[in-house]
Amino acid sequence: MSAKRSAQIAGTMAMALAVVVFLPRLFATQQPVAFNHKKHVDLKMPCASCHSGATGDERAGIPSSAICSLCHAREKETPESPAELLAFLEAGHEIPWVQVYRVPDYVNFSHRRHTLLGGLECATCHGDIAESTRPIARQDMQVKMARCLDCHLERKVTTDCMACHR
Amino acid sequence: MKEALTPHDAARRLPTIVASVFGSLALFYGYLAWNSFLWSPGWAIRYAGSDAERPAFLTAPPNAAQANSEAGPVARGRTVYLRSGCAICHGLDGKGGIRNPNAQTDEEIPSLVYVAEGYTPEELKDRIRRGVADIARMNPEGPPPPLTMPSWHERLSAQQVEDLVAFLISLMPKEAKEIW
Repeated sequence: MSAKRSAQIAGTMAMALAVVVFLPRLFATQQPVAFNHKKHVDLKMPCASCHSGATGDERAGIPSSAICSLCHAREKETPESPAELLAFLEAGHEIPWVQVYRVPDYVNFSHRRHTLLGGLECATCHGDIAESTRPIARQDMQVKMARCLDCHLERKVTTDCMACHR
Repeated sequence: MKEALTPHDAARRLPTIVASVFGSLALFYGYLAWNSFLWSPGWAIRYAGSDAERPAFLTAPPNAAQANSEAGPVARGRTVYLRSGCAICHGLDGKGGIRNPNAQTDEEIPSLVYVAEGYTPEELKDRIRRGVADIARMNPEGPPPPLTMPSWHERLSAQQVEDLVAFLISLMPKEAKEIW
């Protein structure tokens, strides 16, 4: 292979790499704070202590910034606090988290029914989120009707349409 | 002037083109796999549409517990405990066990189950209002334990503190009361 052709291939590959890496980032948005689930779970904090509706309500909920401020403050040496988090807390603003998990409006979904009554672990639907070190950006296991039905059939719970649909 | 591309030349360039296309696809796949490994690709997320949409999935503020004024103090206190963030450190059932590296208490948040033995209700209220800013260190040379107890004086109302104390005292197992 000639040097010229090698250079052509290398150039093409470099351009392809640049497009692949940087083009999506042009259209990408990020979660507002680099939240690390793993750091919190490693301290054995239960999921439902921050997502306080996870076992008792329809919605699991995302903690308000007041909850974050219980531990995170600029004057505290530990725990480590990302600068963007401190900016929100010091401005007294709620953190504009992006809700990733949603069920359609025509679906009745209750966390309580699935966790407290059904005994499901958070990981059953949310996957290995406890090990994630970057803020959640997509559904680890997609919320799809087929997946709901598979699980309902496997666990022999109702598949009646009206049990889940409004 | 550039000479026209002959079929022979085109055929010679074909491997380069094929290699470039497949190389690009392989790189793209690698990029996706890498992002997936690191949790998720950046383009899969989007911001919430509006501010009005946001509060729907934020947990209710602590004072929402007061909405259920018909519940007894223990039930209201439990709601305050779960909603205000107490459970983050002390656990959903008050049994503690959350790791607090370099804390003197076995590097864990202590249990609240037996606070009724060691504190009067007034002492408990005082402890909650003041918080514990400095946690004793297991290794004095080590870093401060990351989890401290904030002052709840401005975070909770007097009624909420009252209810919270009622809940904490109720954590004491019945058998333990009889033994003592």
